[in-house]
Amino acid sequence: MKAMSVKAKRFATTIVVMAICFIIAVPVHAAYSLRTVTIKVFQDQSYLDTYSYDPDYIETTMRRVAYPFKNKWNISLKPSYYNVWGMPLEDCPNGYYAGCDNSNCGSTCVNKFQTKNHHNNFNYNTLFARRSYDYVDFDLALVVSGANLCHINDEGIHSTGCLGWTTSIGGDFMMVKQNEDRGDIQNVRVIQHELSHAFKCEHHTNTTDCIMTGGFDENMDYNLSSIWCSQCEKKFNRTQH
Amino acid sequence: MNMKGEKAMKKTLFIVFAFVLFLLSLFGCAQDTNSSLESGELTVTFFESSEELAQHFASHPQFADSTSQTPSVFSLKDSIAGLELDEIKLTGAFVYYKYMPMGHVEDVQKKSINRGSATFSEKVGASSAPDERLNQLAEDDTYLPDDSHYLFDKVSVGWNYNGHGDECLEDFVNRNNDRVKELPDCPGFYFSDCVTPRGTLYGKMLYWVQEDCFFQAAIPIDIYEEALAELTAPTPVMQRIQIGDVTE
Repeated sequence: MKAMSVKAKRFATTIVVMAICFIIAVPVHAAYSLRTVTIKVFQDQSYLDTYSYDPDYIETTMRRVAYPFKNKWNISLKPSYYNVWGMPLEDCPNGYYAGCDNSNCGSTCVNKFQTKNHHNNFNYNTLFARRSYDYVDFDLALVVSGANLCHINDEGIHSTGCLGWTTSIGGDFMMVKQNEDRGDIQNVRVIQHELSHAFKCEHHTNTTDCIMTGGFDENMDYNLSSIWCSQCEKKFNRTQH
Repeated sequence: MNMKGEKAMKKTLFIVFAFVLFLLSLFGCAQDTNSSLESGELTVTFFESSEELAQHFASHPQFADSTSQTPSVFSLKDSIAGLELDEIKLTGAFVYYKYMPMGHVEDVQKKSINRGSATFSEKVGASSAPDERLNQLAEDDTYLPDDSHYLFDKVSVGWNYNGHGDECLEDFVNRNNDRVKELPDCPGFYFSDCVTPRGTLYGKMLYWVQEDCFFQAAIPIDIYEEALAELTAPTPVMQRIQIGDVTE
C-alpha cells in the first residue's frame, strides 16, 4: 500500500514537472501581455510632396496599421515621425516586366546597389537609408516614399510593382512605396505586410485570406483583427523586437 | 547503498531527465523560429482586360496552383451599381477588379509623379529632422482622425485565383467571427461593417464563394443596396474564363 502511494506521488510529480516544462517552452497564445514596439517613421521628400505635407495622412495610416497588431497580438506600435532629405531617389519610367534597357533608359537594369541612375534603386535606397539614418533607440524603422522605385526580383524580372521591402525576415528596417493611385487601403496593407515580415511571417501560396498573400489589399474594414492566416499566426513571433 | 542514497540518486536522475526534456523543448522552438532568413516581394501588376490577365497567367506557369494547375480567371461586368470598370489588379494570390464613379477625373499632376515622369535630384549627404506636429499627434491617445479620411467611392471585387474557396471562407469567418456575420436573406454571403473610429458606417465588405473561389467586395455605403442586389443576383456578375482558350 505504502509502495503504491510512493509510486503515485512520483507519477504525479513527473506530470507536474513535465507540465511546467511544457508551459515554459511553448508560447501561450492566449491573453498576451502588452508589448510596446517603437518605430521610427522616416518620410522622404517624394512622400511629403505626394501627400502635401499633410501630417494627418501618415498619422491616420499608422493608426490603421496598428489596429490588428494591438487587437490580435497586444503589440502597441509607438511611431515617431521624422522628415528626411538626401535620399538618392529617381523614378523609374518602366513598368513591371518592361525592363530597363538601352532603348528606353540608357542601360540595362542590373542588381547593383551603387548605380549611376535609377537602376535597382529600391534596394539601394533601402540600404542607403539604413546606413544613413540613425534609429538605434527604436525597435523598428520604416521609410515611406512616394517615388517609383525599381529593382530586379528573385526571378530576374525587372519590377516596379514591388511596394515594400524588409531587409530580412525578422529584420528591423523597412521601406515602402505609398501612392495615391493605389488608394489609402493598399498603403495601409503594404505597411502591415512588411511589419509582418519583421515579426517573422513569410510569403506563401496558401489559398487562405492573409496579409501575406494580398488577401486584404482591398478590404476596407480596418477593424478586422485577424489579417493573418493560421500558418502565419504560428510563425508570427511577437517578441521578435 | 542505503535507502536514502538510492532515493537521492533517483531524485537526481529525475531532475536531469526533466532538464534534458526542457532543453529539448526549447531546442524545438528555436528551430522553428530560425527556420529561414530570406527576403521576398509581393508585387502589384495592372491589366487592361480579363483576357490580358488570362494571357498573363497562361504565359507564367508559376501562377498555377499545385493541385489544380489552373488559376481561376473571371470576367466581370463592365459596370456595377453605375460605376465603370477602371482597373484589374493582380497582387499575391488575389485578383481585384476596381470600379470608379463614371466621369471620375484623376489628378494628372499627382499621377505623373507616381508613374515616373518626375525625378528627384540626388543631394550630397543625408539629413533628418523630427516632425514636431506629427509627434504631438502620435502622443495624443484621444486623437480621432476625421471621418472624411475613411470615405471611399470605389467598388472592388476580388477573388483568390487558387481556389479552395469553401475552406478559405470558413477559415476567414472563424478567425473574424466577432465582426463577420452571415448576411440576412442571402445564404452563403457574409459581411462586415466598415466603421470609422468616430462610429460612422462608411461601407461594407461582402464575402462569398463562387466556383470554388473565395470572393470579397468592398462597397461604399451610399451605393450598398444597389451593388448588393447586383452581386447577389441569381445570375452571377462573374463568368469564368478558360485560360486555355486564350491565345497569346
